[in-house]
Amino acid sequence: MTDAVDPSAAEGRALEAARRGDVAAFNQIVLTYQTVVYNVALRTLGSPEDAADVTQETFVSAFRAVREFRGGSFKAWLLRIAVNACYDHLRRRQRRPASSLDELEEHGDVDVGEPDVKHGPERSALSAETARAIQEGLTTLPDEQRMLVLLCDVQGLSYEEAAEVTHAALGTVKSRLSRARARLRDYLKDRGELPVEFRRPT
Amino acid sequence: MPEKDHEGHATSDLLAAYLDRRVDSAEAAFLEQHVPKCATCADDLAELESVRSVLRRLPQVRPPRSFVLPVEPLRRSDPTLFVPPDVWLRAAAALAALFFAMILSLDMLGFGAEAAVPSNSASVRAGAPAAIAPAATKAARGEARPASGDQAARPAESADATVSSLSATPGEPILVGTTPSPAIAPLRIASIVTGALALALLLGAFIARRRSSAG
Repeated sequence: MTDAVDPSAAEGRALEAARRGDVAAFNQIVLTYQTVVYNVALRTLGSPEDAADVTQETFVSAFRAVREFRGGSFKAWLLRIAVNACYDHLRRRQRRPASSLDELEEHGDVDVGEPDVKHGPERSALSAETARAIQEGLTTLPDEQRMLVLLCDVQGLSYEEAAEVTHAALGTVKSRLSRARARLRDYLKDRGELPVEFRRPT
Repeated sequence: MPEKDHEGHATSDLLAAYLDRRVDSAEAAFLEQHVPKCATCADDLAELESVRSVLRRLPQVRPPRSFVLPVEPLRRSDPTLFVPPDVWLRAAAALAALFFAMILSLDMLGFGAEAAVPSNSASVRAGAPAAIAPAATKAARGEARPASGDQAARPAESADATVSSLSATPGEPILVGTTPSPAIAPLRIASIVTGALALALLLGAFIARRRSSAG
């Protein structure tokens, strides 16, 4: 997470080249961040096709706007574009009438495909049922709460980075995150999918 | 201050912050003293920690394809070859202004005069330049050349520069618009045309500049 504070030297050079219109250099950056962007979009929208569309839109917009990036966390800047693209997609989707049950059926069960093995063994211990349940639970959250859970808890951004990405105050980030976790806890508990490995004896 | 609800339990906000190691020492102290003694808060904390753990263990999905951008359609034109429209418009305007100045000075030197049939009143004015000939032509040439040099060097000047070069020539009335005869000298036409062209190109450059900075 430390490289989120300042772009690494290689990334900085790639961004400089991209600012001059070098698409091939920008594509190095695409390869670095496409997994994160795709995963945020996937778990926000619940559909691999929509997530792919949003991911592509995000990188096209980012390339066109790269001269506006003035330093600081490129990851946060990029994710801000991704988050806005996700929200646009969600707004367009809401205009098509669909009950929340349809929404759950259509977008709750995400065919997640192959896990990205770069992200290590600590991510592999969930059962398929639990993973499905939490994705469905995510679908039931309000958009802003879901986004923060995805950014902070799933993608590991700090509160500050998440605040930058969502243009929200730090206090808002904290309270939304807390509420989101509480709701997910209730959802999983109702489904009997909440693992209880952390209870401390009182 | 540690956030407690009305029964003295830790709020879920506080527990969440504790899980993220975002509590201050007072809050940490409160929790470490309170939670072991309180089943409600202990359960709450355990459950929230469990949710957080599940979320952190969600598999990161491999993207179904690469999202690299196609190089050709999005390429900004090769920067070494790309000339923004306002730059070449200004260059063309400068060239046109240069031609205008050259033609105008030729005109004033009287090279186009053979096509003119002077009328009576006009002949006085037309005759005057001819009479003053040596001094005037030298002055005109002297005036015209730095003026044209200026035109070429400062293409971004407003079109007023071209008008002032006309009036800078000493002892000459404004010639554009006062024709010596119904038959307009071709050189005169050429000077009007190049002058108008220079103005039009300058205007185009100005518009292109505005468009590109607004877009």
